[in-house]
Amino acid sequence: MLGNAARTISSTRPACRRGCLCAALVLATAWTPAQALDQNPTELSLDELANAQVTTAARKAQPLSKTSAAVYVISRETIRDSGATSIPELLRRVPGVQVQQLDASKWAVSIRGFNSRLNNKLLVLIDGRPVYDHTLSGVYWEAVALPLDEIERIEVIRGPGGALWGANAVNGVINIITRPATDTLGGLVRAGVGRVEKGFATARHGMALGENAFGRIYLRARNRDESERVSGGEADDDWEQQAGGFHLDWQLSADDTLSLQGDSYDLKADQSSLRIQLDPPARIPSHDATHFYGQNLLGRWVHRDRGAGEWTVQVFQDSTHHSELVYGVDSDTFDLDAQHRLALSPGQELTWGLGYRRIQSAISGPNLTTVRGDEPFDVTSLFVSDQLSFWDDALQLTLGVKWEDHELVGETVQPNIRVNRAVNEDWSLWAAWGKAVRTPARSELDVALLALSLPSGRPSPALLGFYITGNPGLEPERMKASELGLRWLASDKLSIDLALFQNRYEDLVVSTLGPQFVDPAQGILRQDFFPTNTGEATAQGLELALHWLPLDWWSLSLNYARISLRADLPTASQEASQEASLEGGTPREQAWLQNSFQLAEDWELALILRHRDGLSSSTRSLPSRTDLELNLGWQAAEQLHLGLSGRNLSDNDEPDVLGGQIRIERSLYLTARYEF
Amino acid sequence: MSLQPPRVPSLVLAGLIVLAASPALAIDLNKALAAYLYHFFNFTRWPEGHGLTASGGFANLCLLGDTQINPDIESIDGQMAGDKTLRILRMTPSASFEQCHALFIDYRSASLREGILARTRGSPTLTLSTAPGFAAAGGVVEFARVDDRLRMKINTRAMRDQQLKISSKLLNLAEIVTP
Repeated sequence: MLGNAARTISSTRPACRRGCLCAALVLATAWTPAQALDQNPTELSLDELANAQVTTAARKAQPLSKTSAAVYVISRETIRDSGATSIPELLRRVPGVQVQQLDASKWAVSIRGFNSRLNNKLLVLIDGRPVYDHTLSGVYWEAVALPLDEIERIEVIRGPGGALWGANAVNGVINIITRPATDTLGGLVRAGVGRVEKGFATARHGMALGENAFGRIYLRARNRDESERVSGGEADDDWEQQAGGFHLDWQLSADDTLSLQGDSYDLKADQSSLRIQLDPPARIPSHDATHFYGQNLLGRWVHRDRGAGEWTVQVFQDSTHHSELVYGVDSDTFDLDAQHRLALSPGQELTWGLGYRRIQSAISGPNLTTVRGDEPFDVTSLFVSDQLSFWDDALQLTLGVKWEDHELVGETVQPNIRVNRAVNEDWSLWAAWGKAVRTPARSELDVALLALSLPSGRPSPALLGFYITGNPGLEPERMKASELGLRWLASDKLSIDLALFQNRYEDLVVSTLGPQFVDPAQGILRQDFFPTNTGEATAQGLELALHWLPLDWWSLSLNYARISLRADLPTASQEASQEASLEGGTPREQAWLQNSFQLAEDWELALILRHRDGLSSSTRSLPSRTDLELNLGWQAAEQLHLGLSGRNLSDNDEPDVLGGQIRIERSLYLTARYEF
Repeated sequence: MSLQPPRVPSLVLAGLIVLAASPALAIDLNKALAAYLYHFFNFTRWPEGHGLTASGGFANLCLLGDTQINPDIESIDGQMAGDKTLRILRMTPSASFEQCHALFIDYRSASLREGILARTRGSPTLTLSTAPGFAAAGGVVEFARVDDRLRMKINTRAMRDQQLKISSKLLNLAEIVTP
């Protein structure tokens, strides 16, 4: 919802705004010969400035965050230097995030387990607009067409976020925040060519539209070659994408900002699918040209009440189309949110908000029927979050709750309590407890789809049809999480961020096989797979992020995560195989190590090693995998940056996903960024 | 009744200790730069009709180049300079500088800097940079680190050409350059 107002976690507020805190810092350092005054620059007088001894601070490994959550922020600079061509690639560096590339266009991204192409327990927002698909529950990453140059930062918050962001933020939230129009005046072109990444280009132009209005437009296109099958031959998964968008910011007054932004995209990706029919042959391998397109428009008004608080009102309309051989979805979402943040007293900040969302989706397909048709449904919500500070911010307590009423599912309540103790400037500890829910998708509630047909083995009816059918009585999945974290700024050159968690899931949706029955309407024997809330699971793990600057020209980041997931599903064979996939589908250990070298003033080299443990299901297993990535950057001229990037350089022969047939090839590409 | 020491305002106390204990403040270079940039808005007069003469509204500080002072610059964004709200605009060289009351140029390439100076010459834009030789080349303010102090050179002819008046409080702290 309102992603980049009060609910963004990282704060850029100056460290020392209140006089008392400044005094405390001064007193603490009063006996060193020269004062390292951590002061707001505007509070320094000309005399002080003229006489001040200036120092160049050593690069800090990582600023110590005050949030009581497991947060990892990917900054604009990191994005620029990464050579990445998509957002999932950037997320690989975040501890506790599982990223697997499925084919040329598809990605599976999850936080703290349950990895699959459509991970339904992870909410992704771009400037407060969810890109989470409510019809099938999950994110189609290939349809997230926002150019990386538009992004100010990506905040990855692991752990339940339901108390602020609402349903489906079960295992985490990814907040993508775009740059304000005042930060992108002038022109930029980025283009690249490569062996697998055949070509990609982004162009952007930003301008002042008057004394108090600023805007920019962007265009993006990319084209990726098809992959190879493990069994040999082309995988028929090449894809192309075009997108365009705009962002306007009006500063109506010193205290009022109005923003309007919108995007439009079109994506065609090939894949191979099975056409299922009741008449023989029951399964026909087919070329499947999938097509995504969509538009969205978002408006936001922010009113700052100096000293008293901030009001934000946001409205968006989002239309998406997605079609494949088997099904198609057309969806329209309208959303209105209002939020108010106010300081109740110097040590207490209250944020509350109301939300209304209307979702209309039409699902269709050659062998698909729905009960509700395209009748829309509403979701209304209310949240309150209160942050209390004690002992000059050394102890912070945050209490939050969100109530949501989903027309198809009913009411849910998601509470959260967080506490942060800053022991001193170098150490802080935090703990959190919360509940979160995942609401069933439309497809799980009222859709029936023919998934497979076989000879029944009887004279009449001669065919057995397996259907995936919805269960209108399905309840939300529920999760309770306990978390503990530690942040340590060991020196200017070393920082450590550690998080421990335990998640308990109840009412997990399990696909259950019903009894066979004769369907007189179609004259077949029929058996249904339908979802039930019969699963339970427990996940526990730890995540570590370490930054070290051994030398001025060398920096090192190590991210490590370990997770153990134990699922408890009913004992029938169908469910047992789901249990094995759930437990074995998430790598037990993952590590990501980046070494960055400043080779010369204008040259940078980054070498990245990433490792994941093996994956397994009841029928298959994949060995562990280690990949090497490389980014070489050269600031060739003031306005021109050239880069060489290599991906999957260790060239693994296996797919990166269980049951996959496609091998992600070694790829090398050149990029040029020109600012004019 | 508990015995409490008399309450001395903590800032005053802190100030006394600072004065007693140390000869000079130590300030991070980028923070000092951000502080000077802020003060230029307090101590510069722009000509009539260039936004800053009317009351209220915005004072625009434009940044060109991949400026190294980023996090400290953020802290002056949105601050009040007199009755104006300071606003930071980041741009690439093809942008229009009409909106820029002040323009901080962080390019190492002299030809690129001179191209920008040529485009802004005569317009009421306060140009600033840390590049050596900037003031001599026609820029208004050049910052340099000299003997652990942040010093300024101000080209008063460029200042007049740009129709700006910088207060003597700032001029007195600067080395005057008249090429």
